Amino acid sequence: MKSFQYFEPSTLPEALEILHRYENRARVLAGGTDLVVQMKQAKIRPEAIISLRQLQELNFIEVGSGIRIGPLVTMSQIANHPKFDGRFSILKEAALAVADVQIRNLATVGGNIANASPSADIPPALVALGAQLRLRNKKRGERAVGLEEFCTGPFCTHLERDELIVEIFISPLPEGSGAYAWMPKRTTIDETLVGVGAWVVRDPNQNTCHQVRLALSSVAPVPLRAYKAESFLKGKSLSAENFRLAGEIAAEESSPRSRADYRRALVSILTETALEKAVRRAQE
Amino acid sequence: MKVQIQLKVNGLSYKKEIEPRRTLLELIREDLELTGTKEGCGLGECGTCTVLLDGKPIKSCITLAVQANGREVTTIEGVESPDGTLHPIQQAFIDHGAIQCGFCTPGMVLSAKALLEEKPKPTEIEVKKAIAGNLCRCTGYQKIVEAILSAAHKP
Repeated sequence: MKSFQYFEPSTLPEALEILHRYENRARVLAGGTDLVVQMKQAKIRPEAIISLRQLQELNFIEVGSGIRIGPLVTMSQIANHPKFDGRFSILKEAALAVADVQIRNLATVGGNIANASPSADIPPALVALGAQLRLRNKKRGERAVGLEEFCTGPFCTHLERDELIVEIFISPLPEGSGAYAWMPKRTTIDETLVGVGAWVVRDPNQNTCHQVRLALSSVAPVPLRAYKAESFLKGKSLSAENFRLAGEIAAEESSPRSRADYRRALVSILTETALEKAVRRAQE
Repeated sequence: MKVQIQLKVNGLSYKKEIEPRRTLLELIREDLELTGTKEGCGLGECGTCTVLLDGKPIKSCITLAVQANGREVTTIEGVESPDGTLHPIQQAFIDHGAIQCGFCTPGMVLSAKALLEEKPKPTEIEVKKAIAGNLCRCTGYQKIVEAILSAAHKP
């Protein structure tokens, strides 16, 4: 790969200063599992690489009433975190959907979100949880943006060239439970063919759907909220039949680019699966 | 530009001055002449470049050498005992016929070693998931899985 200047800033302001100075000619190194591959393929040729490895204050998981995750948290850390169990298993499941052990040991949540591959798993799971991002740059300081609005297209986000993701946060979710169901392609890299993240809040008295969010991977340029399926399910009984119907509506809402028929069929099935799993967890 | 890094490989400390674009695989094979770690696809998909970084499996062909600064690397050469006795996993691979061409073997052994250190008695599914990032074109995986289970469940 082409030579580059290498920086390992020891503070966040230092990192932001260098990032700002290089305008759009620098790239940020977290785990490198997307970045280094793209550099080896000469898809990108940054003049400078700014490594975040010394900024360990960006590596944290806090689970209180809400959830705060630092951008340097690896997929393995998510997959192994004791609090991402039970009703929050959706996060563990999405993390385990990523590639393989070796990649998960280095790949970071921040990197995954910033790379914005349409077949990424963590962003839809986070969208189902209503996640927001805190972004920071030298000029403006900090701003918050919803993850759903943040992703604008394949490998495109609202992240400005001199901005860093400094936190992923999920507002308190006192009720509800989630699941992530997915199917990989049969290729070397096990890329997700279709993924469905579901978050369901149950009305226990009537066993109906009080609130639901469905976010899909790999069937649109960005994580796709299945709004029509959500509207259908809201207020209805949490029955297998209604999950099936919700799945069919979600399939109609999807706009897969290739293998569309098969992907839609998978959306149907995986939406049902994710809903069923999520609701089962609410009762456990 | 060159950067200074310090790392331990198989228990030995090294100080190296390198261009930041060098991958960890290049450092291991070319600078340290430890050629047990292989380059297969070069893009982090086949797993023949697997090494342990602070005990955790990673793919060294898509890891910059600078990412290993201050850390400990274990390659296949570091798996056997100092006196040359094979690790139980290595012996199990031989005993179970889990090696044909041998190209995937270093990566497989390291992934298995890391698994057994974290989960000493894994299930078959757990073994398969642990080696999901290591491709084998020869064996069909059956003997590899059996070898790892055998090494784990030895009395």
